[in-house]
Amino acid sequence: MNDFERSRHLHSRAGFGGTYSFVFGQSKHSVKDQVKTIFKSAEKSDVFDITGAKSADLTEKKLNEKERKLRKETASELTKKLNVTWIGIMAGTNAPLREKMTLFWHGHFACRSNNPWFLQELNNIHRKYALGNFRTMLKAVARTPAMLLFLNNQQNRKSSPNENFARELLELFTIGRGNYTEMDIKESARAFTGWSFSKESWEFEIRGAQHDEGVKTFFGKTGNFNGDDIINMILQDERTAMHICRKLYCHFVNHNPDEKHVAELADIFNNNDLELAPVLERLFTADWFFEKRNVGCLIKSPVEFLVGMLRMFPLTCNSDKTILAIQRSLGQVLFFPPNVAGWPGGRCWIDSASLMSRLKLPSLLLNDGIIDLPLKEDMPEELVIKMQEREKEIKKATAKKIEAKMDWEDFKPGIKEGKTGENFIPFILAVPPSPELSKSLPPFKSEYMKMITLQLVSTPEFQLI
Amino acid sequence: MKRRDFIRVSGLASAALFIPQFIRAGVKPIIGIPGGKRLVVIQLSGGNDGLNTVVPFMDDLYHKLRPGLAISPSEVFKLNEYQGFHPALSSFSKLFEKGQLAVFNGVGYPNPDRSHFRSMDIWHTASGSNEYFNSGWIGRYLDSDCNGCAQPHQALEVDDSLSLALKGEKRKGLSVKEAGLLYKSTKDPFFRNMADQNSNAMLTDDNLGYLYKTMIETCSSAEYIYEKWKTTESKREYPQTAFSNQLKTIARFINSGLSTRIYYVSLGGFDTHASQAGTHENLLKMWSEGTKAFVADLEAAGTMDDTLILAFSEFGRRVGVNASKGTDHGTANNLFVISNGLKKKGIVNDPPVLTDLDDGDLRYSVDFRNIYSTVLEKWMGVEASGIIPGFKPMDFL
Repeated sequence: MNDFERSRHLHSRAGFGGTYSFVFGQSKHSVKDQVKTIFKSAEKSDVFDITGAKSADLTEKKLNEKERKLRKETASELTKKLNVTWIGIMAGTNAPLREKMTLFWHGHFACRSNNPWFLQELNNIHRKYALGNFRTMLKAVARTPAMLLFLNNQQNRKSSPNENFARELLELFTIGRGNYTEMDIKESARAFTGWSFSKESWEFEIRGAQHDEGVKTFFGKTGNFNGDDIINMILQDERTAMHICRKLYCHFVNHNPDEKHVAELADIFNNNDLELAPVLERLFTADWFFEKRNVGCLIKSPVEFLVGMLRMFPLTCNSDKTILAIQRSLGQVLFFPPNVAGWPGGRCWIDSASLMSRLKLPSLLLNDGIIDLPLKEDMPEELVIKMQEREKEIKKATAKKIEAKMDWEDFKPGIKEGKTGENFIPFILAVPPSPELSKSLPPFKSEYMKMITLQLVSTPEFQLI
Repeated sequence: MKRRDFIRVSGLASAALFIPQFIRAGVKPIIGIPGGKRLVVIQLSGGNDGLNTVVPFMDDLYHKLRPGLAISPSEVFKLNEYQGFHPALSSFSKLFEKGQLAVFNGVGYPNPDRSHFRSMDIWHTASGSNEYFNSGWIGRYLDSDCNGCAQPHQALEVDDSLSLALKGEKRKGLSVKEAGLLYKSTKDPFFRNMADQNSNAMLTDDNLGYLYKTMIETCSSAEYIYEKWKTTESKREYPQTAFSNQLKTIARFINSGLSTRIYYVSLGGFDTHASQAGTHENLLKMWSEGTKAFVADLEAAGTMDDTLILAFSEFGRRVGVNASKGTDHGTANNLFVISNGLKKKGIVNDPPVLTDLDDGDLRYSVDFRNIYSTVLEKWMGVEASGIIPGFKPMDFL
């Protein structure tokens, strides 16, 4: 792997990739320095505020049917706005690692709500602690109305405990399946009884009358534990660090985890009081991160696919509809995870329909749906004219629908005339193109750059990072 | 079997042993076992109100708890002394009288979840309410080899996107709204070239190999479906609704001799929180009239004997009517099976008990996973325990 490919790998994993000149510029520095820069830029945070102040219109109260309908429509519009705005932030941010980690936590603490303010608040907690302390983040997440509602903790009362939150806390958020008993769930659920939020102020509160003050037995210890005690006890168990680090590894390195490397990360996590930055710093600088088996082995999530293209090319898309439709057709709509376990990822992204969409989308965004192919030399003139006219029609119809703008003039991927493209293919693809594809590519001359680009992005290879 | 036929079939079969089926686009699938059974799943999305679908018209509590929404005894189509169909389901009366319809009461699962998408997840994956599976039950049927079916078109969803139910760990079904459109999407000369040219070299075990395999299979399936599909045309009358159109597409697939084993289709809008009566009536009409036309289409073509239809919803609705003349999310519900091979016909089990509610909701008496297992084992002919472990088949088939 040369310096350019190394940079490309790093920035596509620790962020959403970038322009050719960005990747090329970075490749002049050592990995250590590049990672330092990545963390330095992640210190800043984008501001994500669509919904504004807590809106009184959205509080629970008796509404008539018309008001209820209006409230639902407003909420649905705002949630769409949240979605599209966040895509825009990811595409334009100068702190890509922070956004990448926010996206990671968005799937880890997966949540649905019909209240956009709740969703925004949860998302901003993920953003704030994206690279911070896991314990602090977990305690904040556990106190959000979004999560309290989603996991039915509003119904978790001393007289009739609801185990939903306790179960997901153990199974999905922290230590993982197989490391606790059903009794642990029952007992820890009691510790979270009364955890609720005020209907008026939307602030977290513990309702004393509903909280179970009795003695609980959890993880073999007995005491009058409250919710925070339970969280602390789970996080003290070293298997929690293993579970979180394995998930990070699968997400950022390889879907098939190397347990030795996971244990190495978990040690760092435990030794640094569950601070996330040291773990990620190690991950992105480790020699094994750059091993061949870990390069181009991940299937891009739909959001990585879309945001990656927006960052890679001088490309803008001004239609909210298009941004949302792409997510729907590829199977990942932000703020609509399939369930509390989040998006399963990996090969689950790919089925017949979603793959055909993935192959077609790049040419739709970059060239109104046309994948330019070289004309056959023996093609009769009238046929060529006919084909070109047909293409024009298709392009006109598509352009109106997609509302994407690609500035080919501004796309300067550093091509040297007559050479074999040098870094161009590794810029677009994380794996070498198939022999057949390589053979069919036109020569690397500036007049063919558009054609070559369109072919490379319309391949199975382009699905990988 | 004639000797000549035997040679031809076995010749293909032995060739298939040496060449993986997906190796090249254009290889026609050879598995579609003639006379094989097929399943059509109809999903009623949003939570169909079972109590106003199969009405316990003799239950005083039903009328008491649903003032203004209950269906009166004189309106229902009586199925027995106690329960009857909503008048909008009159299209089902013939099926009922001919013994082609089985109605299950109280179908659900322990610790029911009242969230639409979570409960739908549970129905799609056949999990318990405290388990999270990444694969659907039909997908796992594909994984289990379903008598040698290796092509995605063995399970087709007539929709834009593929439901979790049809996604397995290794294999996935195919979503196709229109055979022509899918075929067109794979016909771009650039994709065709890739699918045709790249054979062995790209079919590795890693993710890239998986992507190439999916692409090649999609192109091959799309072509197969399209070529078959265009040989048949349905001249039967269907109601003018989107749902009926989807059923018509399925009938056309079936009658064209497609080797697909499972079809999947959804009808949405059952989330009737407010002013339920009119909406619900329209939906029941859409569902039953479409289904009636579909069954008639298959019967005319002689393909109904090998077809079983299963209709479900992610949950029923609460017993009491709410303040907006609608009903809120509930639990146990009715499930419907239509087939010529029923051993138990009509109303299969006891009606729901309205005096014994769980916080205002019906208690389930049949686990839906036992019904899935029955269909898989006794209709589709695969061992259900590998797909839905721990749920024994029942005896209605």
